[in-house]
Amino acid sequence: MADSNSVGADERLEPDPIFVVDDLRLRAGQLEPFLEAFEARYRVGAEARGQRLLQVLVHPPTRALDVPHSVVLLWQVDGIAGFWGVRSQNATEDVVRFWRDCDAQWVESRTRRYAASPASLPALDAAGRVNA
Amino acid sequence: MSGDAALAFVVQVGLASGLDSRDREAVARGLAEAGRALEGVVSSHASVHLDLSVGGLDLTWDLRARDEDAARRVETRLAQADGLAEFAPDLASRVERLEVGRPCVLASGVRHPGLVGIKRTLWLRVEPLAPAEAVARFEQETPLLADAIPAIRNWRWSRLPARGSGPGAIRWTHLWEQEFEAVDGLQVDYMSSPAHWGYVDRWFDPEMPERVVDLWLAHTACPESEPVLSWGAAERVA
Repeated sequence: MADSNSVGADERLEPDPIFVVDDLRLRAGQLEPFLEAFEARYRVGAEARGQRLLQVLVHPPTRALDVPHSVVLLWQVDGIAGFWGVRSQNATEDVVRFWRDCDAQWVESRTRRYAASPASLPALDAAGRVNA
Repeated sequence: MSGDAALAFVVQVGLASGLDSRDREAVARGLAEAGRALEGVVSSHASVHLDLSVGGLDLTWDLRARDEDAARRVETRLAQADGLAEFAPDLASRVERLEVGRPCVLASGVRHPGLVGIKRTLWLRVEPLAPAEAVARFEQETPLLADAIPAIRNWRWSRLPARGSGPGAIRWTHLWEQEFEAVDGLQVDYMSSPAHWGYVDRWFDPEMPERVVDLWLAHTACPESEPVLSWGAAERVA
């Protein structure tokens, strides 16, 4: 946990979707090796933890240029309970090793951000405010 | 951020196996009394951890020394292998382990002086190879949680000076303490806040490139019988 541990929020209070945005800048020529490793070593486990893959986006959208690609992985989790469901299961050696190998072999730099629709912000900010 | 040595001690206590809940409560009361009897200690409180706690020992013992000289003496006694046997001999057979933290406070806040509620303590260890600038940012950002989550009534964010060997050795580098009025302040308000899961948690998440915190944490919470994080608040205001 962030304290993630086993504690979790009350899902009934906040059903709005939360998106996970992985933005990866790959090293030159590493698009195919990364995509193969992602499918073989990460995607299935992530979905089992509660991340639903919505999109894999590649920039530039061509293989005809000899330039490094960027990849955006767009996921969705089911609200705050879905977030903590992921976090309570992702501290495993397989997950840590996958990202370590990414950083060592295919990825120049990356970010992961949790995000939501602007329309969801009031509900997210109000979620769980039982002791305000 | 630089930490100022406080007069407080926060101790995780590991109990002998086989103690029932009545024994555990008795040890907590005994430690609180033994602490109050120590020369130079002005406040002492001990409480058994709630079941929601994960990764820590069995109870939390908080102490506050009168002044810096007294704090040094208390620290020496607590860190000695036979310290407890010396000043609380009737408890020594039921206490197996002490992890003594002396917080160097980076930031703190008291919004509800005198609150007797639930004290949550997160013991954590920043990875030794974490980049200094990332650690500095992590230290600056953690108090944002107190700003964003009104249910955190009182709080203290501290470094723990290294004590790497000997009976008082600890592996922890930081301590994040909060007081809530009730358990759901921690379980619902704190865990639901987007400032927590959507921002500050990245320092802890093993999938985040920013992570600096070791995955082995001690998340503990216990009910209070006196207002621990606002000890001395009236004196500080005066």
